[in-house]
Amino acid sequence: MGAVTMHDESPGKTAYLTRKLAALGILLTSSGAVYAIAVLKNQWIVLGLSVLTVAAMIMIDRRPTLKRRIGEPLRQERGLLLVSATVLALAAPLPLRGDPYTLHVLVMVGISMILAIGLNFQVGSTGIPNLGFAAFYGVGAYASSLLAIRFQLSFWLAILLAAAIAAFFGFLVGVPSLKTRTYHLALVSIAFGLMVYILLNNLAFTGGPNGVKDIPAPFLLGQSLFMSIRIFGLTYPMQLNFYYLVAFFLALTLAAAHCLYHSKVGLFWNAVREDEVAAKCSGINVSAVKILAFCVGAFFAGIAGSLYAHYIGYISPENFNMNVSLLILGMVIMGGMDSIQGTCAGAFLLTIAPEKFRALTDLRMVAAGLIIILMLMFRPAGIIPQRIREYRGLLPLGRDTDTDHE
Amino acid sequence: MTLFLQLFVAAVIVSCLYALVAVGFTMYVGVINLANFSHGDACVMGAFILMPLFILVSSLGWLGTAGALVIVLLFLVVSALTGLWGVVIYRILVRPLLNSPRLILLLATVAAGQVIREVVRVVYPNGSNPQVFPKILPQGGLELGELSIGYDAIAIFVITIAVILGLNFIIRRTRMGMAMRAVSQNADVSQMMGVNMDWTVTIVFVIGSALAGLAGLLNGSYYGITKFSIGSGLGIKGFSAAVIGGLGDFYGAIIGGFLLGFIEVFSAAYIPDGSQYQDVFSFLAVILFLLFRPSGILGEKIYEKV
Amino acid sequence: MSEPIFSVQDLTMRFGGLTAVDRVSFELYPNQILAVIGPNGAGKTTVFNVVTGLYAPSEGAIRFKGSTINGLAPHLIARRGIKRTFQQSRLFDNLSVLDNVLVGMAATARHNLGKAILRRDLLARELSRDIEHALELLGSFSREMRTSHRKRAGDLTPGDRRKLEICRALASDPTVLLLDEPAAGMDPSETAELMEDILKVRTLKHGIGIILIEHDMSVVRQTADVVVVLSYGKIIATGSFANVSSDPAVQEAYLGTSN
Repeated sequence: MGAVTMHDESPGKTAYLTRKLAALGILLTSSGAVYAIAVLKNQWIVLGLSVLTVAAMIMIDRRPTLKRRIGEPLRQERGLLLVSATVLALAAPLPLRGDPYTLHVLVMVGISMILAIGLNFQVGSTGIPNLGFAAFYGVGAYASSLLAIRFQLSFWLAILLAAAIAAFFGFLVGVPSLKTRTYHLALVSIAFGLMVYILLNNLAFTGGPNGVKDIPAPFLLGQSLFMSIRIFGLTYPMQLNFYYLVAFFLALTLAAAHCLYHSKVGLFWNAVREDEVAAKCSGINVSAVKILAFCVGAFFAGIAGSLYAHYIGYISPENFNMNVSLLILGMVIMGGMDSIQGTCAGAFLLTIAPEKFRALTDLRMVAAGLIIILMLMFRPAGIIPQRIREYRGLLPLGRDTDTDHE
Repeated sequence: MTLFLQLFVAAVIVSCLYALVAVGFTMYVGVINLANFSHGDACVMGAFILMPLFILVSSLGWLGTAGALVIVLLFLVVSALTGLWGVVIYRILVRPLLNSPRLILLLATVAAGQVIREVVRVVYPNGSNPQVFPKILPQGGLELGELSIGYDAIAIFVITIAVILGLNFIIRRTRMGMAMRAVSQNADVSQMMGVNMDWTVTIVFVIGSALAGLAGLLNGSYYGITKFSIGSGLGIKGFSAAVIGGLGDFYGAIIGGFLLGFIEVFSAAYIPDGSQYQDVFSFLAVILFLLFRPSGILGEKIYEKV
Repeated sequence: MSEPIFSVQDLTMRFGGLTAVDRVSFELYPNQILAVIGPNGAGKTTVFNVVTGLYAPSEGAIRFKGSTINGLAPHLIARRGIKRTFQQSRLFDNLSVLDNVLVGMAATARHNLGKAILRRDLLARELSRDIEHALELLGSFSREMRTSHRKRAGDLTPGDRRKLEICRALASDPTVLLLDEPAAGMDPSETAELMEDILKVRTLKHGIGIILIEHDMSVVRQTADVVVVLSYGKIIATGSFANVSSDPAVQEAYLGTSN
């Protein structure tokens, strides 16, 4: 290759280090931006930062060379990034000791992410237009609360049962939805969402419009999560407990989503989304695949519902109405259909925005609707679109290995 | 017995309203295969356009002598304005997305409906609360023994029949109607035969939105109040009725509307605690139809086009 | 002469008042290429749709490998070994070329959902094997598609789309392959390539039977062993291309007398 160098370090080793540093650098920059958006109080700075970040992501997505330059180190340093991201996520709330409000917002962001990922299985991966997703969210919340109150079940058991019950409701919605037409699906989902809302509002055992209150706190190692916590000698508000609780479940959700996407399940979901008839004739049991999407999505909605209920301590049917369904849908559409990172980005932005831009409160739904329309018209793929599947490490080595096609 | 007849009258009125919305919705499906989920919210426009116009007209003192004529004019103006709104929705939202996957369009109309709803709520003074709707339909009524039928109910029925007959005439006897039918059968061939797609679809939106506006208007007049959120309710019922009757079928929508209206009113009356759950019954009916007869009552059996 | 691997007997399909397929019968033997020709609207694609389970036949029997498959769901029929392509290519446009072929393997026995979720290590090994198999299959039809396997299927040229559809169908080693107007819209060089591909299928997959709907008579003449002529849902002639094309009824209905 060139002249013999004096150093022992081959160019390979510096490249190796640069790659790691680049990956870490990208992680830190993006995390920093996200953190700043979440933590800062000045509305204008936050707005500016958000617009900048979104614009940057879209611009990077549009320039293949830039995208590759950034994508390479990220892809190759998966392990390092995972560990670093986990450390960052665990450490992030620690400086926020005196800011329970921001901690609360972060908890809600986490719950929204779980919700959005759940819906993403249905809308993004499988192409099922579910306009009543909040119903599963509500079923999970109510099931968990009532199980904990009436049967004195521990939170940990209640959340699992609630998620299972929600998944069962997913099955109930899935069955009538198996007849093809898109708008039939949309209609059944709306009808179901409204039915659940009406039932929650009217049934005695769900408390009617007053909802359910005094939902018991989760307990861990004998400690109630509603109590403030001491770490390294410092006292933290109780929101910190829930931050870690939600982060834990979010991690599980992300892992599950990742596994499903990269498995036959994810591939079949996509095939059904792209062309049901071709999928059928290729040997895919489309009905089973669709029902699976309904159940899995509903399951995670149930998890989110239970977390919400045991965190806030009080739920009412208003928390699970049509507007909520549309908001979650907006998160998936805006963030990126079928893309896990995109969905999380959408969940983050649409949860932070109403909190940060209090002045906008009245126009919140208008803004959300307009954003969705604009995204659908000009960038239906979302902020972080889903990429073509990669099979790194599984491709046969040799002259015919793939070339980049970004 | 009188209870039954009274309920019958109520059911007819509710059915008329649902049928009007359903016909509009089913037209979108039939002609351009679009599920327009902003359709219900066009009803809101109708109601909320009428109210300020009515205030204007009454403050100008026009309601005195030629009162009835003015009312009729108001009806026409509101329907026309809502129809115009339909053109806006078509040009700005639907047309650019006609070549996108249907899911995208559907979601866009859902978002559009929400925007309409919220803009009305924010812009109209005291928009979040229910609004008193002027009594523009004739007051008083017939007394047949113990049965009372309001003139407003009769008016609604008559108007609905007139609209349906009018639409039927348009669809069957005019060139525009033929164009609509042709496009709903086969859009590509129709274009090749010289049908102007753009204009045909625009007309569909005008008619559809006008119907929605009229329904919203009548709904407000009959109940005496209206709210920015009636669109969602009416819209859902309209879609449900259209589905039950057979998506894309004009007469199916009418039948669906009546079926839904009757199920709702009678289940609310005869099933204990029914009124709280009347929506649940309607939705159950819809879901049962989707399960066992997805093509609806009049729709052709759906054969997957391969 | 061996047993037919596939046959339809008095197959009838009615849509309301319209009889699209009227008592159609034919047999397909291993390694045989059977062409179905006839004017547009004669019911050819409907036969495919019925046979692949998209519609349940109004009357008649469909027999495959010795058993009757009437009324089976499409995915079950695919799993038994009947795969098809479509008149207008139905690819998974937003997925990669490789993914399209991998989906085609869904029809093989070992791909069940439970395993997909639970046994991931096993999956990686199987996946490598599947990918290798898929790439090989792609390579035998187009070196370019094999190298560009990450390309989005929607971005392919029409010729490549057809090849990909065929690869997807062949990915599960089917016993019968149904090709619906594969030469539609192709220029002469593409048509020649297509004919090579069709014959290549026969060498790649021993014993496979192919049913081909086509309008392009050069393709039919050069590839088909048996020709079945459909008109208004009925069979009006069966036999070799030479016999069928000189049949006056066929000429009147379809070919025109100048042939």
